[in-house]
Amino acid sequence: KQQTNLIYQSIMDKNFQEEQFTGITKFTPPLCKQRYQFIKDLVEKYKPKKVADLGCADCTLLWMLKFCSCIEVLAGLDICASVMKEKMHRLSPLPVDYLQPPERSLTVILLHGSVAHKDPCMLGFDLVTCIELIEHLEESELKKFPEVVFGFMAPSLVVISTPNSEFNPLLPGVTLFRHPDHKFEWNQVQFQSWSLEIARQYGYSVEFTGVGHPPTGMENVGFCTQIGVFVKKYPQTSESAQSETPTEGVYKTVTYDNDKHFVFFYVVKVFRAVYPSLKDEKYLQNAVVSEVIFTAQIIKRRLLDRLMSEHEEYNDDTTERKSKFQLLMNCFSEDLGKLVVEKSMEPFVKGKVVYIPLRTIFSFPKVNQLCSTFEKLCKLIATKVTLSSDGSAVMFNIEHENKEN
Amino acid sequence: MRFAMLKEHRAVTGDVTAFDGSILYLPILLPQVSMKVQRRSDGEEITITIQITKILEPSSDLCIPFYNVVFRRAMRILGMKLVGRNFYEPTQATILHHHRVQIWPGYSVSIRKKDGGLFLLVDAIHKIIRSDSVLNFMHAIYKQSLSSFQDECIKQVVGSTVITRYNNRTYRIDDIDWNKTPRHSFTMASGEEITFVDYYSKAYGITIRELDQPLLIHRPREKQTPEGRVSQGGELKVPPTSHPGGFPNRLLPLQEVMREVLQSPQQHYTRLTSLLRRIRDSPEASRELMRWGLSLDTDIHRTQGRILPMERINLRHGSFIPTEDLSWNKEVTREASISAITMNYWLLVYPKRLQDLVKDLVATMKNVCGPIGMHISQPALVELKDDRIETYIKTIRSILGSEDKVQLLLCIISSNREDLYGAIKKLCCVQIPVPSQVINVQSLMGQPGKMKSVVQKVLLQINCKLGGNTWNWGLCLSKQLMVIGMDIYHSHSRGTRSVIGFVASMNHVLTKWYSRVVFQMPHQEIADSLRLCLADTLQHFHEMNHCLPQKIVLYRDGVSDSQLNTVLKYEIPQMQKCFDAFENYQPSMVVVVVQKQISTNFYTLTAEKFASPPPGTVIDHTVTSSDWQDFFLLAHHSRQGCGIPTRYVCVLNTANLSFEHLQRVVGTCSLYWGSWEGS
Repeated sequence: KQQTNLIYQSIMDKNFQEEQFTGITKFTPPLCKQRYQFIKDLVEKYKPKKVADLGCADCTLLWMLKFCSCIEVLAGLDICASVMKEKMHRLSPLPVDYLQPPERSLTVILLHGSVAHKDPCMLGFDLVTCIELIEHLEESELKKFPEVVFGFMAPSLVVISTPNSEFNPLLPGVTLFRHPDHKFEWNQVQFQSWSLEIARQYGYSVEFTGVGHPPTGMENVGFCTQIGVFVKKYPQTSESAQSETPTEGVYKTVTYDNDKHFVFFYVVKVFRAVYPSLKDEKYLQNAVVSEVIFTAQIIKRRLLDRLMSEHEEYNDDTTERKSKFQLLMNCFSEDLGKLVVEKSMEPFVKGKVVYIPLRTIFSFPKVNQLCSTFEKLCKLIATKVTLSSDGSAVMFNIEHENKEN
Repeated sequence: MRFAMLKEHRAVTGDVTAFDGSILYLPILLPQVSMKVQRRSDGEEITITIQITKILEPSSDLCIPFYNVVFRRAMRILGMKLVGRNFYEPTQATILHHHRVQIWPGYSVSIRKKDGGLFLLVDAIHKIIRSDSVLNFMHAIYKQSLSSFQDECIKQVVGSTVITRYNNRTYRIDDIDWNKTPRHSFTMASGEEITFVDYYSKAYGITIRELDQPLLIHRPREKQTPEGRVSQGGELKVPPTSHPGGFPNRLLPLQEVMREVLQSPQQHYTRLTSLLRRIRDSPEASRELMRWGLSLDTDIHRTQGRILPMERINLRHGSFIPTEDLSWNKEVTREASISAITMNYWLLVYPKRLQDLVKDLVATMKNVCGPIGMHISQPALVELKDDRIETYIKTIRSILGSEDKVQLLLCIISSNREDLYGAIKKLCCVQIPVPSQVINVQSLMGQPGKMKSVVQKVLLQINCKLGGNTWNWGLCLSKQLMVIGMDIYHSHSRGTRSVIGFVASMNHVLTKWYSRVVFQMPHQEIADSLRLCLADTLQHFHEMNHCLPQKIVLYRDGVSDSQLNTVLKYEIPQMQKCFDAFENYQPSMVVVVVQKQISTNFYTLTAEKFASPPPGTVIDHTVTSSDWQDFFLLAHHSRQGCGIPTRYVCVLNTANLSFEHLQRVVGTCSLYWGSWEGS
């Protein structure tokens, strides 16, 4: 069953060291972090619900964005599946996320594919980010890119960042391009004219900014990374296109490692994580039941404390007191019981059972907030909480409680 | 850089690689290759030469860590969540709403090499976790007890394990820092000062809303490097927004949790095979394993065990062979014990409201003591006006202070109160030494016959505590044998000293014992000062028996596999050194390490159904270690749950005890009265 495993020793003929930028330009925090922070700030400002990161690489930006509470769908697309998969487990929900699921739902999807192809998977996003992406595109891909992102996806907000070649002389060790895979690096005029042309064509306005300030005295060089922020001019023009959610399930799951199987698909889903949230009936039910029992316990304790203190007798004999208490509770329920039931909001004791009306529990803000209508409350807790025969009150056995203490 | 450059040559090496920077592990055979790569940083051309150095056997020790990494990856593919070292499924949680507690089913998995080859060790486990964060929990405590809030928090929170919300790490809480809030700053590894609020917002995008919460302190163990994260003088601070995971035992709503967690052998088996099936059914998970050539059996491993012969039990006038479930209640409660102590002067302490019950109790005791062979006089009754701890302690102390002939102190308490029990035991074991017995009154109430059977058991226990001898074993133990038990207790809270408990038998029937307690610095498992301890013990043995033991059997508890060598190379020589203190003394010695918390379960297959194996089941092959002499023994009858065997590792055997004899000795010793289920 076992294949033999072999050890190889690799010998490299040069003493190698991590590349080190020693010159004048060293950014703190590192430039890539500044780029991500820029996006995060933008998300905090515009509060998009659906965000796609094109060219998401090792998913670091997606990982940062998953903590933003406005986002409900987070998608990453990259041409290289193995880079995406390397750290994709970071995007899975943590065990702790299941303990107190939040109100918002969150789905994280990773797609393997090219930005040069239109695919229905990529529809419906509010914000599309392309961080250091375009300079990796071949000429033919770059040509199709605006039509895919601005024409087809048409989100209300697009962010594109790319190196500013004018800054390169300030970076030590950079001869031609900053990265061997770069197909081009533009200066400010090139990037801005390309962007303005796209903005004009697809009805966006664009503003230019960047991260990585040039040294003083050389301000005309511009930012190390140039960024264009595109805002759609008439965001709600095509209602139908906007409401379209990413169509999932249209595509069969195929073995994504083996290319020949999906020549007909442009984009293949590599990863999908659905975070637990109160939008999911199961978690909502858990949360409501938990809150109902918690609230009911508080009310019960208050009631019992009140009864005890009202009729506390200064008698040291505990057994006697206990029986008196029992007696008291019985008469309490007999004499006042009916009256209180009429009111239907007051908790009451009958025999060894405390009844806490659901209406009372529903009036507590947390419960109210969770299930908005009383009918929903009843429906959610119906099978999970012990209710009185008419289903109007939560029942607690006092004896059971005393033993516990 | 090396990693990236090698990665570009996937075409040569294949997709399945493991590279640690200089050694490359591959599942395929490559001819010697040289490749040219361009270094990205400066464009210089680098030559990579790969040459074969070694072919590893599939079960080579070097491969095991890989298999574990690979298997963990497969578990993750199945959607399991890693918490600490084990995998859980929060989506399958059972929720105990009344206690705000969740129970997550999970698995502890590891691939290990055993005598029988490579094994996947799986145990079906559960994680019990509070739904509330520590902060919410503290709020709840605050509402209940305003005055003793901080004390109560420390009592309830310290010692438990928390899981952080942002990065899934688990920390044990060692203390609470009431003087610090998230607004305080700490120094990061880079030397930068940053407040906790800023740190969490920057690193994780988390906004801490409650700025006045205290901080929880975790002190990493000495052997772990603090890794310089949020560390401050070796302390790690976590805001209480994290969730408590592990509970100190005392806080568990035990009954309800046990109901959920207990699994019959059949249920346990079903969970194990369902894991195997899920891996098989997931193409992605099985592919992950196949990449390194791992494939799993479709079923658990089945092997043959042995059952130790039942040893004869001797009473004063007769003997019998116990039944299979090892309950010899009937025999021992009807026949006279080998030696019984007469209780002439003893105290019975009880709160006033239980006076009627106490009358019954004394009458029952007088009834049942006859057949056992004990004689019990009327106790000195001590009635307490209430059942507060202070009342108990004050009264007991004042009586014991003036009386010194008290044989036994019997306390009746009204409920299962651990604090009261602890206080009484502390008083009677440490401050004013006197044999004591505490009975929870609830165990005496119930069905009519219940009191009688409880009293019988308690009397046998009292007899032993007073030095009597209820029964002994037919197995011949040498007259010059000494059995030693040793364990170390680590306190979880506040870096206090660890305690070594040391008991040694003083007669061959193992009814008289000598005990010592030694203190040790925190988290130092291997006991120092053993030499003195053992020398004292031998001295004592000599005083009592006028000879020294020729054979010493030492049971050492609480040693993990990685520490076995330390026991062998450090502890044992230390103890052996003390033999020099006696003239011409060279006793033979057997050292057995006892491991109780091992995730191994045995079941027997009886008529197509799985059941707990009978007591005395031994397995000493296939699943045993290839490095040590060890065996698994299930000494007791398990009424609930699965049979969890104890693993015994024999690290030293100069007595030339045969393995089978050793198993019988161990099996017998583990049935000594203290661990007899009936007591």
